[in-house]
Amino acid sequence: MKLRAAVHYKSKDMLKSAGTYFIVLLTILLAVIAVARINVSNGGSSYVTFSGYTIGAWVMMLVMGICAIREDLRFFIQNGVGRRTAFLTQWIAALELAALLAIGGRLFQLLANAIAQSTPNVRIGELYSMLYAQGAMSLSLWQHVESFMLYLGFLLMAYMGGMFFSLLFYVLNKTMQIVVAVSIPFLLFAGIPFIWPYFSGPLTAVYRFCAVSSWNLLLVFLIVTAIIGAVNRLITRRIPIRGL
Amino acid sequence: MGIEISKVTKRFGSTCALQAVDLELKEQGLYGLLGNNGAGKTTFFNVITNRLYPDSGSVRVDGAEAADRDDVLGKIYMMGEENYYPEDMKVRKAFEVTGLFYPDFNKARALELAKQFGLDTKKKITKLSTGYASIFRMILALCVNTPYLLLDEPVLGLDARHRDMFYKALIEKYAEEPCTIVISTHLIQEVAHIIEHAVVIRDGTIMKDAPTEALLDGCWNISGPRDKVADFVRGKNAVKESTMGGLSSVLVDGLPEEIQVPDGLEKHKATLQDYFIALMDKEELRDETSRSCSL
Repeated sequence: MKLRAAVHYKSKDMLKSAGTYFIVLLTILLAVIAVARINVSNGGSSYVTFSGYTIGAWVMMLVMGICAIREDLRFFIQNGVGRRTAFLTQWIAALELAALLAIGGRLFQLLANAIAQSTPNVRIGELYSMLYAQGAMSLSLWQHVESFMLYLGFLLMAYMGGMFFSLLFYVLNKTMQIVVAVSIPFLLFAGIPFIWPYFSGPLTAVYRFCAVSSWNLLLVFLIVTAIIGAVNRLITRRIPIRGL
Repeated sequence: MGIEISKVTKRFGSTCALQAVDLELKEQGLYGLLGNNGAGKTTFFNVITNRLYPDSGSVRVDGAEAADRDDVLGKIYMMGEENYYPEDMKVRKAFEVTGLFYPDFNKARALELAKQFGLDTKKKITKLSTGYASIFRMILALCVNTPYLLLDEPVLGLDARHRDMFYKALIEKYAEEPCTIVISTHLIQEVAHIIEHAVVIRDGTIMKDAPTEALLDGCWNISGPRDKVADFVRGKNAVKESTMGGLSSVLVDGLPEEIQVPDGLEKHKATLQDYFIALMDKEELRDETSRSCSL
């Protein structure tokens, strides 16, 4: 009963977010095509490439994960929804939004390709195609399925990752928040290159495993998502929920 | 049936907000949760509603463990001092979504109360003044129709007229649909005539838990000339004394109603607020004494 109500409440938010994202992306796409056409009509011959859909959707899911969890926990607890149900709602909502964006991604790709055909100096790229289909503009039905599944896992991981950072900053004290905030970019830009030689063997093995097939990469995404999700659940189980 | 709190302890670092609290809130009744600042009233409510996890102990509602169970938590509605709604949510939207979670929520009544109190339903909740934010939360609490209602400082920031309107609406709601209402407030005098049962909490410990009438039974204020009052209360349980010039007023506990006071003295029934202050003063004195003894 409460789960149904919570999902119903959350779904509206997700639909609104997905709708806004599509409108923004379509506007950008139309602007890109317009720029390309103006370029051609002025005698130019340069190519315009647009490949931001997947990364854009990933960033959006990450931000949604960061922003939503604290607000939702507060709202749900005020309305008599337990923590377990509130957490389950996050999973369902994340899956719903990820599926919407993944399906939207496929439709967007088809639409973009159709529009781009009349403008030859526009190239519409996408992550799956670049990684597993040699940059092909049109995909087979099976490739569409693979691409949909890959994006689903990729986006779900972003949402859970965003939720993790939000919860982490919620439970840490001020000093630790600063330490973590400084550590993240340090780890990315200095830590990974530093540790790479020591772990190059297993990391290269993972890279090779992922390069074989999109299903392998999806499996890695799902494992990472499951681990982060489990940690998130452990955090939400007992954190104090305070109002504003 | 009701809410049973057993051996609940909650610590925040070195501060013990609740110390092995045992309490039973029976079905249908108006309770007053009275205590000084920092006594543990809000923590107590937060533990019942799962906003805080107790370090030990348990909360049972109608015989079922409350922790993290939707069916149980759905029976309780807590009106706190803080905002738990999304920052961009408007009052009207909050009324709509509350209906999703509480099927018995009376939206029509909520809109009617909003009109009576002059609450603008088109406004964002976070943009409401302190008083209107309290009114918003209070309206929700009065209209959710749950068997258990916890009101934490419900009249915070409300002017005298709105406070009066609130108490009337509360009594009306209780008369129409009896439920368990627990009011935590510092304005004891205002709720004294409403509450049937008083729970006094101090330093995370329940000090008194009794029907209001039983608590005040035998509590009298004796006032008059200082010497005469002193003579009269000698040998009796004088709980609190206040003097002003040559006049004195003493709160005596355990004084039978039929005992007459000598001429020149006045005898009045003590109020809940008098009793509460006297109790707190007494405890404060006891703490000071034990502190100085340990030094």
